[in-house]
Amino acid sequence: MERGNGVAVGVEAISKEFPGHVALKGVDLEIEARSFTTLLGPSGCGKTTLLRILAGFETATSGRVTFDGRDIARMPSWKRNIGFVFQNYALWPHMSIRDNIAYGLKLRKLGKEQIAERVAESLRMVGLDGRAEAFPGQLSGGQQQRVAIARALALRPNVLLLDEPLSNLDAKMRIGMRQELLRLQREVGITAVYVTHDQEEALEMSDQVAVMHDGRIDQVGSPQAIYETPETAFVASFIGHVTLLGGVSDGAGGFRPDLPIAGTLPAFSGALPNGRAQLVLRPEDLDLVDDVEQAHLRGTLVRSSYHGRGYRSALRLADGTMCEVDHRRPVAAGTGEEAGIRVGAAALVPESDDYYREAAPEAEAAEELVAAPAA
Amino acid sequence: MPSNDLRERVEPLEETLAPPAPVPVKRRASRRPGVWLLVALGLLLLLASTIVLPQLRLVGEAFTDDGGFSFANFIEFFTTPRFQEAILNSLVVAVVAGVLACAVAVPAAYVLAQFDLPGRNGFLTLATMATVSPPFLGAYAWVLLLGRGGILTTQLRAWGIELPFDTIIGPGGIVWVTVWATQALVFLLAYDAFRAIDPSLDEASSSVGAGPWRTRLRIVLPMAVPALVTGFYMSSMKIFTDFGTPLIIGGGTPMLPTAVYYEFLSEVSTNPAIASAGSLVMLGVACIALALQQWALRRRTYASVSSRRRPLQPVRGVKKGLMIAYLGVVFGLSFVPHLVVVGTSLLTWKAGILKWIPTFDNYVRLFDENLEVILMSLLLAGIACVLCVIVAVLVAYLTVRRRYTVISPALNVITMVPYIIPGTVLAIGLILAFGSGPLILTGTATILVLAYFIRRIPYVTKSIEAALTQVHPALEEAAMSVGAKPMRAFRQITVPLVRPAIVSGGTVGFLQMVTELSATVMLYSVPFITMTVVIFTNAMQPASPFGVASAMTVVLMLAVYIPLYFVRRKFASVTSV
Ligand SMILES: Nc1ncnc2c1ncn2[C@@H]1O[C@H](COP(=O)(O)OP(=O)(O)OP(=O)(O)O)[C@@H](O)[C@H]1O
Ligand SMILES: [Mg+2]
Repeated sequence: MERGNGVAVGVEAISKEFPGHVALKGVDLEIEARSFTTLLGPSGCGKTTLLRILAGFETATSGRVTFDGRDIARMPSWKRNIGFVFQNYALWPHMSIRDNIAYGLKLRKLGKEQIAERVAESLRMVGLDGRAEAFPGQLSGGQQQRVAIARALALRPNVLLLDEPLSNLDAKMRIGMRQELLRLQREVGITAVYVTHDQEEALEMSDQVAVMHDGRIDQVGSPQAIYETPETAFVASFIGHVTLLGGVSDGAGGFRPDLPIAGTLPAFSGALPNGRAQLVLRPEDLDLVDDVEQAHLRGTLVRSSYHGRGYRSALRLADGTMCEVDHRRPVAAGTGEEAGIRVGAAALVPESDDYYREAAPEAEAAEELVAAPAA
Repeated sequence: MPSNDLRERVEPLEETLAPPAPVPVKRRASRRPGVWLLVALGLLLLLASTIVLPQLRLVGEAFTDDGGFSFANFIEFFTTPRFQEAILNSLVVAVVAGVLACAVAVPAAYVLAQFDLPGRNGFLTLATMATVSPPFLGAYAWVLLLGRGGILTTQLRAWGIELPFDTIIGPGGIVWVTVWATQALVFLLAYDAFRAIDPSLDEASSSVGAGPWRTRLRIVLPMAVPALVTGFYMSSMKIFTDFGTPLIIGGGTPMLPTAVYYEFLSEVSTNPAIASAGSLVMLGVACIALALQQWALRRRTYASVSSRRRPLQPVRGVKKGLMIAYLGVVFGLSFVPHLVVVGTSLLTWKAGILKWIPTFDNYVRLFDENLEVILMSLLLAGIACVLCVIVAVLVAYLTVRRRYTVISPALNVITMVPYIIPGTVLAIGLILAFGSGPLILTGTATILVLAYFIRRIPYVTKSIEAALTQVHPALEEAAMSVGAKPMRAFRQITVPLVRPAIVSGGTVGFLQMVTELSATVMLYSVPFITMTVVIFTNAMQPASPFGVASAMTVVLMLAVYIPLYFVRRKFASVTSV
């Protein structure tokens, strides 16, 4: 059904300075009408700030925001026809669920019957019909979350802005809500901008992912593009577990790694940098081989564990880098012994120290999990 | 997020939201958030002209002699024996009575906070009631009781018992009365502090072998020091600036507020310049006291992280009896005035002499002769209270939410200024500013309303500010995201959410306004007479109709305690501190 009224959103060179802190450093982003765009990035990178600028809660220090090409700098939030789902729900505790949803509709001077209809419809959409008379405090966290979404959707906004709307839910609820949210967004035909720091969520839901990093957008693209052809070390490392190996790229497909690699690597996907570069290796693109002669790389097996559909092993390469490999067959080598790695696919990114390091405690805990199955 | 139980208290805003169509179709070009800026500027103007301007006039007056800048007034003030004595008396009485109030209240607060005693809520209610008693009630009642011809004095003499003193009137009387009048303030602060101490702290202390007294002195008491400092500061400043008590029971003992009052208003020789200098001296002492309090509190606020409630220790036998007896004596003496007033309002008075004949005549006469006075008091306080609440809500909102770089801090500071201005000083400033010049307010009801408004604005603003910081700003943003303009979001989302604070803050403000004396007595003029003025004038004259004055005091107490009762029933803890 084509009842969508989503607008195209343009973000042009937006910067935002808070006293003593620059939250956004020149952000550009094109968002198609009725599409689902995710802002993905680590904590503090400026996702919420960008979303709040789109909503009109903050004014950008410089730059332009457009809705369908029109500059909306002078348009206050109450005229933007947006829906905003706050991370902490922000339901009005002194109003019933019905009143929470109806509030904006009343402001739009809809008729009584129309309001009742819309409220009922929105509640049905989020599976909460029958709870209209409850107050926010009487609902569970997940239910409040859905009310917040219903409140935003009931208005048929031009743009739906969601700030980590699922972050407080348990894993199962979160997966259910993702599907629900996507269905609603498609059904109503709204432009959605969705903030998250969960890469899986971003890849699964989006038409377009913008990976943010320290006040900038590092890369914008489809989920596949972001995953398969990362343009920066940060993007590569933020999404999935990767191994980065330094070297020199000639810009024409040739790459000379610092660490000797035997044989020829497969052709690299994506843009080819010129000069210092890093080879991006994802565990699922690698394989462990018993015959060390066939291997591109060699390493010492540190641990190996079974995951149901295969094994994931960690190897320490000659320069000390840890490399994770997914493989179907068990390894012949025991812990501490040498094994070979074959590269099935790889990408190149310009070298940078600026990649995403995962939290240290997790890595340490993993070190202890030594479980090498005997051949 | 604000607590969910707001829900039970705040009914849905159906009535304000219901009519969909007849919302005025005024499409003003309010593109920018200019509404709030205008409100902020308006408030700044209002507060600057009513709070800052009078104080500046006061400063100007104090430093002017023969039309030029001069310290002459201060030199005269400090070299006149009458004033020297007044300063000394005021300081000594404030410190002595403050110390005694702490000495009386802290042990009482400790036993109630530590031990499982019957009547806990009763004592807490009494303490709260005591903090909002009319300020001069104690003096009035104790003089009736123990003055030269007092009820108890004569009665005891008739029974052949001689009191060690002839009359309670004098500096000792001031101390006696103010100790019992202010101990409840210290009591409540100390009680809260003792209750908040993490129980594992004293458990830890006894686990390393400290006996209970050692623990009390080394662990519990130091933890309560901030509350004690604040309690001492508040009670001694209350005593220092009290006007009614020294005049009624001081027997001519010169004290600063009374000396300044006479210097400004007495019929014999008035000297506004000297009175202004004296006012500034009072203000200076108040500032120094506040600075000392702040200094003493520095680095002394221990955040209590315990979520465990402090258990009440069981106690039995003689110990329990002694504790209850002690609490009974403390609160008994604090409420002697209330009982005396109720009692004497129901007895017959002949030419200032009490006859033990029960009667309702006093009330009949009161409502015959003084009904307007009662209504006038309630009306003036009511208007001032509404004004105070409106301004307080706006100022609190502007300082918590709309951080205009200059205006918001300025508003915040100006609203806090009256916190240290004694009533007498405030009144003199208002008379100087509005007794002549372009806007003359003296002799009107407006000046009383203004005085009440100014005196309470810091307290009401603070309580609403505290509530506002608990309301997440996203709630208002959510309203704007669905299309509400800023003012509407403020009215329909934020204001209902801080309504408990508005109601309780406003009520406490009202109680204090209705019992205000020190500014009222300088600013009132016929026909705008309040109950406090009538009671005070009666107390000052021998052989006046004490029965009627007592009846009026009872009415005043009802005007205070009935609202307090309702607010307390609705919102758990309401105190004036
Ligand atoms: N009002 C403010 N004043 C000062 N600094 C701010 C303000 N709001 C945000 N910042 C800063 O701007 C940066 C970006 O904040 P933002 O809230 O946009 O991060 P985020 O990407 O949403 O992070 P998270 O995933 O943790 O929510 C942070 O470093 C933050 O400290
Ligand atoms: Mg955020």
